[in-house]
Amino acid sequence: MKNSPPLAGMPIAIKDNICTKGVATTCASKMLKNFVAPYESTASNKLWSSGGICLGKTNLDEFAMGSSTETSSFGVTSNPWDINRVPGGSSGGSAASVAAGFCAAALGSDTGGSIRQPASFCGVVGLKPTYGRVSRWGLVAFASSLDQIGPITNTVSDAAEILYSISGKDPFDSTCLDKPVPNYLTDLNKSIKGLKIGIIRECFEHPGLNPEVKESVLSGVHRFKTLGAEIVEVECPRFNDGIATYYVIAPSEASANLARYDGVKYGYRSNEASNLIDMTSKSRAEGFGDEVQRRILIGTYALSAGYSDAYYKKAQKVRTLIRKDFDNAFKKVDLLLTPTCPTTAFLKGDFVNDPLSMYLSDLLTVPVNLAGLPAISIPCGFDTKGLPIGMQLIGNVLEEDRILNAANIFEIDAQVIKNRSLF
Amino acid sequence: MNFNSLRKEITKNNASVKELVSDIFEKIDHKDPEINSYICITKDSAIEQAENIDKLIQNNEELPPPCGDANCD
Repeated sequence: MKNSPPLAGMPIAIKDNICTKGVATTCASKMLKNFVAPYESTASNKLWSSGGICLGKTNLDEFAMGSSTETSSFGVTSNPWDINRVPGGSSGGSAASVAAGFCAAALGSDTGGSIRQPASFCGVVGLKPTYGRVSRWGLVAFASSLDQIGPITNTVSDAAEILYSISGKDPFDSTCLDKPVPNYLTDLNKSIKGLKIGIIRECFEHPGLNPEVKESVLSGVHRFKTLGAEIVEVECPRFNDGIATYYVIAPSEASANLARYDGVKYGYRSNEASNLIDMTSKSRAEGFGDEVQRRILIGTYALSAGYSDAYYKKAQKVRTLIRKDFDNAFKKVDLLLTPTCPTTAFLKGDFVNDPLSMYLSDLLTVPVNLAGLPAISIPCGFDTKGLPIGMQLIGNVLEEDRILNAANIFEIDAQVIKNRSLF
Repeated sequence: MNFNSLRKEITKNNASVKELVSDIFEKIDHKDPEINSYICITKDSAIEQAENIDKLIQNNEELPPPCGDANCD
């Protein structure tokens, strides 16, 4: 394979909100059930150019809105570690397929934790790159200032390979950064002696954090210390405001992005309508599921005249404060460390009728999206039920190489997942 | 399953890319109904692409233009 392309023969799955030419791209929604993408996304195209083999399209929460893959109109995905539990979401199909050995790697998308949270629940590696590192061309838009495509893999090294393949400037996406792409494999094994890792105090003091998760992640912190890293406690006072901020900004952007699904040009069209307005209204009511409709309603309200200052603009101001917290933290440390999720995988149906509790699953991941930073989730242990626990490493803008290096050193030393053959 | 383990299988001639990909699809066919991780699989185009890569590896040639232009099985 000396002269072969870098990913020659590697079997890869693609989340079904990423366009693949000539293949159905449904977003797990009745609205796009019969939509066949007329073009290839830049990220997947780069994988195929590198020799990757497309195995198929993976399940997700409808339009990537959810944390359990239970809102898919194609049925719930099960967690391979315990089929009574959810795989997380929204990239639950991608994480479950990697964990179950149904592919070597998968692409996911991360708007508020949708790569890292399912990676944590399924005991695999999930990387959310810096906003703009990977082109969003061909990613069906949910919240455009937050969305980012990234890899879900079994090893940190595989995540580095995928990231290297899919990163870089793209003339089709004006938000894609025109910055050189380093070979992320080069420094993977570099010593982390002297690396300053910041522990965000607010995360570990949160009352919603499961004690077993906390203990496991703190054991991971101790391991980093023995590997030569310097551990520093840092404060991010606005970190826990992330959820409230996110659930104004993301639905606002979603309400605008999903306005295009009106039953006119493509997507589901109701047969029950008697006029144009009725057709649009019924097509949207019948084509979208409950969670998508809920977020469109929240977003439309937050952006409406008389309320946008109180909600959307205020949320944008808090977003800036969250970003400033990270800026201040990165003046003191090289990386930040938190649990990926407050809990391990929960049972199917636990939060279906309690969306606010479901939203808290992304408590520790959304601030990263709001600040546009890169972050990775890697397995760091198990709870007493045998379910995997994830640890999140957050880097400064475009410092994926540093995250991958630390994660790889940890992965090699800890050997958390010894047997990946779940089936 | 990871990239390095798959590459070892391929370079040691323990398995062709087509065989590896076919094995995965067999696993998906048998086990994924329980997990429901895939909405659709692109078996025919994947096997075709695997055969192309096997030829490439055998002949040490460059890969043909990008694929991903496939129909859902």
